[in-house]
Amino acid sequence: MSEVKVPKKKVLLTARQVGIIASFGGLAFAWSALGIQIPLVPPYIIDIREPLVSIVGLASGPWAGLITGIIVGFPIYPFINLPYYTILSFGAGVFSKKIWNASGWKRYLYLLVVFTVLEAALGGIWGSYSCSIEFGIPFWDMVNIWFFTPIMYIYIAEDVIACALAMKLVPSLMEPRWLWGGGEAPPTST
Amino acid sequence: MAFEYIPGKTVFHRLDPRTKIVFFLTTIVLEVLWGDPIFLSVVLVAVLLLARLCGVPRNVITSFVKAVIFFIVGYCMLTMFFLKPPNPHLLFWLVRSEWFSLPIYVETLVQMLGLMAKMLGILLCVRLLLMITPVTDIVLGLVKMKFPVSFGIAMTTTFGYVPVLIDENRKIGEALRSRGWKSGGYNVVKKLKALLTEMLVPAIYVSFKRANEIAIALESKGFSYNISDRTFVKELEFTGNDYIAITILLATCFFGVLTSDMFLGYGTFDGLTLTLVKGLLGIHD
Repeated sequence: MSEVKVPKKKVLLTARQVGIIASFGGLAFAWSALGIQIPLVPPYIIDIREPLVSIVGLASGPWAGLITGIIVGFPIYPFINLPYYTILSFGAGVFSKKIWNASGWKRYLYLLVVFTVLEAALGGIWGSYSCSIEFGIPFWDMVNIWFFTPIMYIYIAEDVIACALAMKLVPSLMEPRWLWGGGEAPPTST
Repeated sequence: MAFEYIPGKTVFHRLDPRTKIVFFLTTIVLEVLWGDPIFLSVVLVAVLLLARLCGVPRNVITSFVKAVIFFIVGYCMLTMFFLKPPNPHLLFWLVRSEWFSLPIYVETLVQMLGLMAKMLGILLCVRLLLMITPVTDIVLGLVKMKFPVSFGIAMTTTFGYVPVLIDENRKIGEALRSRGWKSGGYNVVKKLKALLTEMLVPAIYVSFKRANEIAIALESKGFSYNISDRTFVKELEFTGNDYIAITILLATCFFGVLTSDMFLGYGTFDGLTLTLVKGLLGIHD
């Protein structure tokens, strides 16, 4: 009997990563569609898109984060939101192993630092720049609103709390096993 | 629903999804490049006209516009606080007191009108794309444009799952409300707390469970077996209409760049409309 030759496969995303993208990306999209959000100073709103894309980035790595960012950022103001969510999730993915490998309070400190840097850079620079291009609001006014009102800090808190809870409660799913070349390494945690 | 496909047999429905992606990108480019209310209104009217030609019912468009118009108008009104034109011409004072004054300039008003047309145009364009193209076709178009196949599958799975998730989240909300849950009224802090603790926790818990189920379902259907050589039930092919549409879209894009502040500058915030309004009001710089 001849043996079936299985072709050598190169997987960019594993089924687990696709599952996480579909589940969390879909949830973020569904919440936007249901209009579950808290309006702040326009154009800012609070909803769960940030924590969800951050969780995907942390759990499944930068490539999965990139896709989730596209899914979440595309439907509303893609010029502003697409790069914002994509880079947020990608960035969370890039630093996920560093965060995961730290133990105790250091892990939460890393989380705080990573999301503070990401939100400051994305909201403060990209958000302000894109709003000034798209809506004509002066760049420095947007920067001032972002940094000197509670908006940025609410966004950071939302990301950090959701990710910390997820890492504490479901470590088996949050363990970052992604590889730069695509796919995932076998799980190490018990 | 955020992406409700309305089936039809119009020429626009029959266009290749890649052409529709180019249409979407062209509109975004024009909306970004232009700031002039007349130019942006032309884009808005074109999108509305296209929606009608595609057979999108009028009540779908009006209900969508009604849903977003308060946000857009409110946003534009607040924007007045931040807009500072370089050489302003006072139209009237909205508020004038010792402590606080809010002047309305001709330039601010023109910019606000442009802003409204721009916001509505972008929202309608995304909505129209999703109304005349099934999401699976958009993803297939992206895959044909050399987007990685596994990324395409991830996107199709996600979009296919959204109706289930909407239903599930509605049920979570209804279950919470039936037990006397209040979302916090007008207090932002209480609302945020309610949103994070009562809504987010069950939603994330269910999501983790579902992520595993999706992964198992995908693996059982041979997801990771030679993914790069996948075939598709539907094959895409460009027709004559697609080439004509892309030529028109590229020409429009070129016109957009030409009239932007990079070259002629008619389409910018201080472009055609401001010149016309100043001429009508007899304002000379």
